[in-house]
Amino acid sequence: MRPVLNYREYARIETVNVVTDRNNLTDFGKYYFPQLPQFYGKWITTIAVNNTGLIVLDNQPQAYIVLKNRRGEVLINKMPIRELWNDPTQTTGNFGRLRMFELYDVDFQNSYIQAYDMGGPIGAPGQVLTQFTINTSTPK
Amino acid sequence: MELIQPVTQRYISLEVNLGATIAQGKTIAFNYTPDVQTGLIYCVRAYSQTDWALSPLGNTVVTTAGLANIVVTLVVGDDEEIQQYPLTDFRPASNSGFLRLLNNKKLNLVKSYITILSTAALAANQSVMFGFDYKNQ
Repeated sequence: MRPVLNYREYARIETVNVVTDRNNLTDFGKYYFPQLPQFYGKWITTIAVNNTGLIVLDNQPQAYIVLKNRRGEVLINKMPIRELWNDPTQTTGNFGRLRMFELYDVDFQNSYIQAYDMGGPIGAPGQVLTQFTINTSTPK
Repeated sequence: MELIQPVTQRYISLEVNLGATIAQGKTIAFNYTPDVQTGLIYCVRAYSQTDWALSPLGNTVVTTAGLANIVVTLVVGDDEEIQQYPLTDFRPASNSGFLRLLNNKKLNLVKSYITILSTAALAANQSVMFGFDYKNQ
């Protein structure tokens, strides 16, 4: 079943945070998403990285994202988060051109962002590393 | 309005390393990557250091100025269908965030390659990072 391909229309918006923890404060450390069962059996149609002053990694080029589905297949294999950084007021990131996807049944618990070249620990434990806005669409 | 941006079904990043020596005219082929070899490619992106500081293998990524000195040739079968294409044009941030689309090409990746036009702004062991949007057949 394919999603409804109307990307100008938000169906359901979720804000998802990846939070720094104490065990992963190293270069090339993987920072896993929380378990998000609300995306099981759903289509993700847009992903944006938010830009707020509270977030450690938003427009920085030091991280990429890996997304897997619940069958263990890698759907997005190392896409730089800067590509997803969506701020229409900026002439960088994706310049406000929201990136569109057709990703089904994403298993966030086994998906992660990987950060590197930080010259030391990234943020403080418990701090929001990266914040994503994710749209899911209603299946036809 | 026609949709002019791709919808990403699957995406993979690929690294092409310039090697220990760089020279004008040097060509470097892509590595064999099964996902890309069997999938249909419909979008290509290239990244500079501004977008992606360090490759997953730990190599420094080519600068935006360096990217302007490299072109890419993408091969389908034995046919160089995309010939000597400037990498800057594949870089979204050099195109106001727009992405370049391909017509569902089944790339012969090991015969596809980049060519160094000038060594200016390039350094040994830097890498060019690509992103390919593809779908399985």
